[in-house]
Amino acid sequence: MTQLAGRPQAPGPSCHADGTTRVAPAGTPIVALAGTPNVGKSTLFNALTGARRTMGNWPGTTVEVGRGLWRPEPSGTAYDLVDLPGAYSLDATSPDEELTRDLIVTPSDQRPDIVVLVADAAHLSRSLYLLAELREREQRVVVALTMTDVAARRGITVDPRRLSAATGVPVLALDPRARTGLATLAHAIADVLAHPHPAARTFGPGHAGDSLDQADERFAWLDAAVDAAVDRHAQVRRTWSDRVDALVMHRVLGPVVFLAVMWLVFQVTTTVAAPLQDVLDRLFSGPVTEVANSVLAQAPTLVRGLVVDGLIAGVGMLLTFVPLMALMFLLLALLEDSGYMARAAVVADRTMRAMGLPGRAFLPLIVGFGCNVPAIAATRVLSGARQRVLTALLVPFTSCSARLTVYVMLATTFFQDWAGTVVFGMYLLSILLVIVVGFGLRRTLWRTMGSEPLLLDLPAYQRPTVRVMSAVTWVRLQGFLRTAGGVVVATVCIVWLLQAVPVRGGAAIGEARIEDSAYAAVSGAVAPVFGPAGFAQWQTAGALVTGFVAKEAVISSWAQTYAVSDAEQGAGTPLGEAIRTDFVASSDGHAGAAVLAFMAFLLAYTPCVATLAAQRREIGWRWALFGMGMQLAVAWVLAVVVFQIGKLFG
Amino acid sequence: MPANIATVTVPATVTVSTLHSLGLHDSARLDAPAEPSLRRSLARLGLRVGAVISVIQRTPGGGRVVSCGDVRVAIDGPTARQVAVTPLDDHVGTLASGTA
Repeated sequence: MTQLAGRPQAPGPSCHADGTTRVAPAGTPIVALAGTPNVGKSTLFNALTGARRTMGNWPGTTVEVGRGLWRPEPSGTAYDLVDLPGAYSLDATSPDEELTRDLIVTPSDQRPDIVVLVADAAHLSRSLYLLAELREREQRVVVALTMTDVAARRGITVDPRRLSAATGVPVLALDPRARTGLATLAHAIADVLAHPHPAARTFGPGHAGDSLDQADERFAWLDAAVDAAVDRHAQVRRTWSDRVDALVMHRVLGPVVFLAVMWLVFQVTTTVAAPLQDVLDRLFSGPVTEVANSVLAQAPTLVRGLVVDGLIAGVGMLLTFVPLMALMFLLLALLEDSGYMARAAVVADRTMRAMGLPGRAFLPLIVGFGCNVPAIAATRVLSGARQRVLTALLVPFTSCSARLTVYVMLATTFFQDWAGTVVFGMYLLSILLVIVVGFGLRRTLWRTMGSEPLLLDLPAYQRPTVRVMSAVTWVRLQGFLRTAGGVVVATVCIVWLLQAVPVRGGAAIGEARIEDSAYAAVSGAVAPVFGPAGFAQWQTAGALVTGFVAKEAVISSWAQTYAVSDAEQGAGTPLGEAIRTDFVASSDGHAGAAVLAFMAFLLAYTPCVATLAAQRREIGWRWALFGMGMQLAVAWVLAVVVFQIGKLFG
Repeated sequence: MPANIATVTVPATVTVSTLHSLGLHDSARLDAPAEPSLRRSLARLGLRVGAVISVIQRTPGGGRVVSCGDVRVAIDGPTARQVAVTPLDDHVGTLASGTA
């Protein structure tokens, strides 16, 4: 998948990157998928191109344009398929909708030859407003009806032929989740492209001027079309979705349910993944290390050090978290695909409003718990520029999955049976930080900001499908592995180099004690800053410095540092024990308080360079740097407070 | 009118029902909001002037979830106070809204 020229660029390297697919050759007909949010455009895009765009059952999943090659038959015509962000109308109210409008309306060589309007059969009249606007232009259109199964369960039958006759465009039904009806869509597109552009629909008499009048006329037109095409076999009644909503959006129980759900996610994640993590740990520290040592027995010490103490110890340690991350991503995908996330945004509205943000801003923040980079891009669903900046500054305080790896390692080392609860506590602290910092900014720099209404379409709950959940999980896991294989490997190499270069003691390169290395010298210069927080040892400061690149690098740097140290001493101390010893030493015996302070610092300071780049792209350098300074200040103060209070309790 | 009697204008109170004043499960017909952008935003979600809606949920912060046919839309508390409706049930939620 690529981004369109002249459009907002794709996020930089992140743990949440979309899949890729081939790009269509120049001159290939452009087919755009448009429609209201959450009707299955990205699912259809993925089914047609084999790509893996992010999918979810809540409005605003897609905020960027995706593009890929679609070849319905191996030797047949190819199409340049474009997946547009959801839009109710060409009258855009937010940047993601503007993107859709500009692409469809602005004359350019990127303008689609045909628009496939993806319409929700269960909510047809709402889905067709965009069609009414498209029909006022000489634009080729095909309507693809989705959610016909949901409509059928509610006693609604849509007759595509009658709808086609009423609207003047081809209409067909398909199911992108089950991948049925795709060939019919290809035939319909080929047929429409073989004909000239259709004549534009004109307004009836008396509707030429006022935009509200024109909107009324469009509604009347589409109401007539819907009446002609839809049969209702049942009265609208209270659905089981409504019954579930009565609990999950309850004024009192709703927030409790939300917290309970998130606690369960982290409890299940840490409990179930732990044995698998141990197996992988033993694999990397045992057989893999032994094989590497024997293969590289004759190799120079420097090379062996890089492979064994650097790549295997560092990247290998990170890879032991793959089962944990997979489980976490799977559970979050389950919540997203079911439709619960939109309800969570409603529950959070009161809190968000106190910060001057609409409940809708909760959706980017929730995305941030997976990865901050797409979350910052997702702020485009907000229509107010000031609200977008404020949300983008708060996103880094949402604890992304990369930070989870460090929490789990420290929590299992220091708090054993309470590990799951401690990790959950970090997520509570993350939510608290978002609220407190948001409140603080609202009362200072954002004093004059107006509020934005929450008007959120609640999708019906749906049974999550294995295909969608596994696709979403795999895309995110790939992002994690890409980070481990790219940024973290590069960081490991740099750390290894710095650890190999001596700055004192006079030893040769690769022969120096790690305490005399450039890495220890740089880390040691930073370490005193963390004295009041109880973790002023150079090993920890070094890990935090590399963690600025990516949080996964914290673990790899530690593993590298202690692996080198162990090799020098001929000892085989487990990583957790080595870290514990250093924390005890730097905190005058208050290791528990120091570890909590360290975790709090890790939670609050700059997540990674990719997040900083995403902020620069969305809100500019000035705000990105302001955010970085704010996060460092908040992180330090928080860590000091946690340690000093923690000391009082032993 | 006798000269020693002053004329006093008594403000008449107009009662306007809003979405926020409706009770749970009450139904109403949506009136045109004074704010065009709100009218447009509601219409985009399927809540058009004249549509029959029902309150199916009260949410944290004073918001409401309304149903309109098969559509379910969550609306925050302050906005729910701006959406004028005409109740269809015997329930009449009222809000004093200034003078006529």
